[in-house]
Amino acid sequence: MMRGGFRFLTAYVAAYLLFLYAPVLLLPIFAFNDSRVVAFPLQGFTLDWFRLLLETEPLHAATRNSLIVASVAAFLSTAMGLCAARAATRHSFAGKKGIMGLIMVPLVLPEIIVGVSLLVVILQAGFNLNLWSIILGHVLICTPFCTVILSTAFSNLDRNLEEAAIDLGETKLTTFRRVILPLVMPGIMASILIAFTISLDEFIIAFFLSGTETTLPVYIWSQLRFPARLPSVMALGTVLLAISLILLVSAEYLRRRASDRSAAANAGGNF
Amino acid sequence: MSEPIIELQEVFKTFGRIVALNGVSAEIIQGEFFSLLGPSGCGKTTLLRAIAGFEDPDSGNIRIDGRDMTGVEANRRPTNMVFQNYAIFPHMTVAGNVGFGLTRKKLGTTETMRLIDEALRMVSLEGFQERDARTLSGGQKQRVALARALILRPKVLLLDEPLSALDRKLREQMQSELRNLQRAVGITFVLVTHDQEEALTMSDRVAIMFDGSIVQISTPEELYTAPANLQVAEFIGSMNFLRATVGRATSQGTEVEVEGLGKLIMASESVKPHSAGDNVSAGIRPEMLTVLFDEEAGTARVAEGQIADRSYYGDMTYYAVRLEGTEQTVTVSMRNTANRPILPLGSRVRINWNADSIVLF
Amino acid sequence: MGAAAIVRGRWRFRLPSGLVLVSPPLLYAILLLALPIAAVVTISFWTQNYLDLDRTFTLANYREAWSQPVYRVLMLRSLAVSATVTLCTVLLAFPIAYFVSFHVPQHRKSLWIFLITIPFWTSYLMRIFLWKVILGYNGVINGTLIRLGIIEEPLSFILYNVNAVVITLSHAWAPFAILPIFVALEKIDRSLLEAATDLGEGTVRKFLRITLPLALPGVLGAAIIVFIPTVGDYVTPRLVGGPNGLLIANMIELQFKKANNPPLGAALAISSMLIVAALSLIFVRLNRHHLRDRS
Repeated sequence: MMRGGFRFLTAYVAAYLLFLYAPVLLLPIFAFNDSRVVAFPLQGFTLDWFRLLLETEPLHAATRNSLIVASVAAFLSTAMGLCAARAATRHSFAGKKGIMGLIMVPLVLPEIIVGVSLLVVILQAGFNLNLWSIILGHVLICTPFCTVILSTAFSNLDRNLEEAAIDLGETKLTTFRRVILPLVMPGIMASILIAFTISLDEFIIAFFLSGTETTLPVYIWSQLRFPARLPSVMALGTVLLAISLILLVSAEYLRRRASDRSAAANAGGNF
Repeated sequence: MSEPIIELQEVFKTFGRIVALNGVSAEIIQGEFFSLLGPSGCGKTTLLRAIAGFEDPDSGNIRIDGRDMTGVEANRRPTNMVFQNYAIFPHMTVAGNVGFGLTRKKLGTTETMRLIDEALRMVSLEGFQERDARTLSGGQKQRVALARALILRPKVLLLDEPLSALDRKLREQMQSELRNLQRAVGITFVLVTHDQEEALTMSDRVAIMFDGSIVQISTPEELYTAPANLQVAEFIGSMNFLRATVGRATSQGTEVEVEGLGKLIMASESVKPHSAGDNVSAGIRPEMLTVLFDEEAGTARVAEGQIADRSYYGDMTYYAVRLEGTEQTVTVSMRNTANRPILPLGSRVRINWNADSIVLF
Repeated sequence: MGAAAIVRGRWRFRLPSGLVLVSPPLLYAILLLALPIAAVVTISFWTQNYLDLDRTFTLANYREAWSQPVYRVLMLRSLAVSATVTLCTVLLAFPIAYFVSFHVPQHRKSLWIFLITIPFWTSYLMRIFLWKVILGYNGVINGTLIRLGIIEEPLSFILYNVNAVVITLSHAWAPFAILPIFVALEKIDRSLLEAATDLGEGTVRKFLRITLPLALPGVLGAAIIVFIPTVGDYVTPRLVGGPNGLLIANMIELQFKKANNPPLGAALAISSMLIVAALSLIFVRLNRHHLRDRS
């Protein structure tokens, strides 16, 4: 009974992984497929669609915008996350639960609500929609993720290390620079990378809040309506997938190094 | 020489509704090895942290080397601390850790290196300079923590249960090393521990704390032989307690009637706070009682009893003896020697004891 | 010896430093989350007069949102789709989480979790679009089935309808269901299972009496995490839903943009948020009750 059950489970896992990976596997296939129609049967190998990417001016503008938005949003939300995570792991204050709850709310809020409500406020306040309005929205949804990642980094950090530094004559500020920062650095890098990736891929908020300048997902959305553009969209998707993978693998690597560090610091035993 | 280096006056500290320090007053003398001993939650760590500057007392006064420490941050106090888990900076080498506090002094590389070498030699870690702190064993981490604190030549070194994370063998070795190190550097050590053996073997003086208050400060011998109250007596070592009644004072001393041991005369001095007619507890340590073997004669006084239970420890045997004429049992510890057999349960024995070793509570 | 008290105590001027520290993200959340949502709530009580907003208080938008059949249909369809997606996603995810937690060696677990999350770091839009390619009239599934001779005509029930939305969303939210369940399974003390075996329980009864009840909080968390955002999903119904697969979010967008009726859009948004919040709360309450009764 147990063997049979296990075999069934293994088969199920294989099928499920196929389900998970199906879209991702198709992406490069159609990116290199020499046909204007994104459908089977395949027609042969081509790099034309990648070449087309290089020639499409609006795509470059959207990419540039996306990179700006993602960089600024990643930086700001990590700064926000640092404050929130530090306060959450090291301090107690009145209304802490409610305050942290409010900061984390975007995690469970449908993005359309975030997009719509920001849209209303920005328009009512008489501001124009531009890249900054997208950044504002992205910082809002990235901050909870950064807070979670950085809270882990801070709570893995032995509090005695900070006290030891102060005991040895350092001030709060120099303790942060000499002890805390180097130890949570991998966490900070992971937080920046995750926020960058989220912002780079975010569509709904960007769609609601973009003015004349758009980000990459908004550009892709506009292209999906034109069947002729689809193969080059596939090529674009392949490039993006490669970039995300590189970013994620490095984030994961940094995260592991961070936890190795704190784990080693916490283990007080003998060899 | 007996200048106080730390003066504590009526130090209070509460955390919410918990009273951690309930008006602690004490003086710690320049150059001594001082221990704060007590069960967990008695406030000893809070007191150490208040001296270090990590806790602000709600009221009261802490003076170190004659200076009032109120409002002085931990990084400005002439104290350094060895943390319970050592708090070794994992992203630095051993030299980086040991020299951590020197960077503020701007000594120049050669002088810094020399001091680090010297500090490492002091804790027998020569040649460990470039080792990654993460690769150190528990004992090595502790030495690094010691070197890192001592290199700054503090007026007082504070140690928060520094041996509790080590295994038994290493702990015993470190006890004597710490003691020797303290004698060598001459710096006042204040040690927090819940291990009475550790406190007794290492310290010049021990303060024993219960519920946020220091109950007794004395030398280890005094603490053991003349505990200030029942609580201290119960906490330090083990002690038999027998019901007793104080009688009248005579010219030789005061009469005390101890259940199971009979009437005895004690020095009036040691009966002092109690007066005639008081019901008291008479305490006597198990090793102050002896089981008399057949032909041995009692030196002072003898009581009759029967062995109700026994525990064998190799070098020692502990007998629970029910005394004649009472329901009370006393524990007697006997060193096992060649001519002393282990007595079977139910044996009738005579117990030898001495009035001087009885303490009244 | 509270740690927070130590840190607090070190600020002589008694300013609660935690509050100072948390104030940037807090102010940010107040200004760009709480206030905007409050603004949406306010607008939902106003009326759109062509280009101006009539700021007299009215419940007309809510009346319309709750009485017009079109909104009711969209709302009910959104809830039904979300509930179905939640059920499918959690049911499909559980065996995977179980497999990784109980059958993958300890040192390989994080690699497996990484493997499971990789597909979700491709562009969200692309992923949904690719489902269109897979499910489409001459898509991967139909193409394969026809070539294998299993069917002669392409299946039409898998694209441009609610089924397609459910399949696509079940895929999109898979990791959000797998991870909480995995975490809950990881927390189960393995000696409990050994104890159950020792007490004579077989594999199936052990699973039903120990593993499942202890994993339940993770399963419930997964359900909530999937349910709430799917109600607001906008892209999937637009791309694969067809005319009968549109959901409430598409209507909200329509009101805010093309139909230029933000007050009605706001009333729809607020209504759906309240319904979702109420349903989630009831769900959590019921289960908490259930869990308490068992323990």
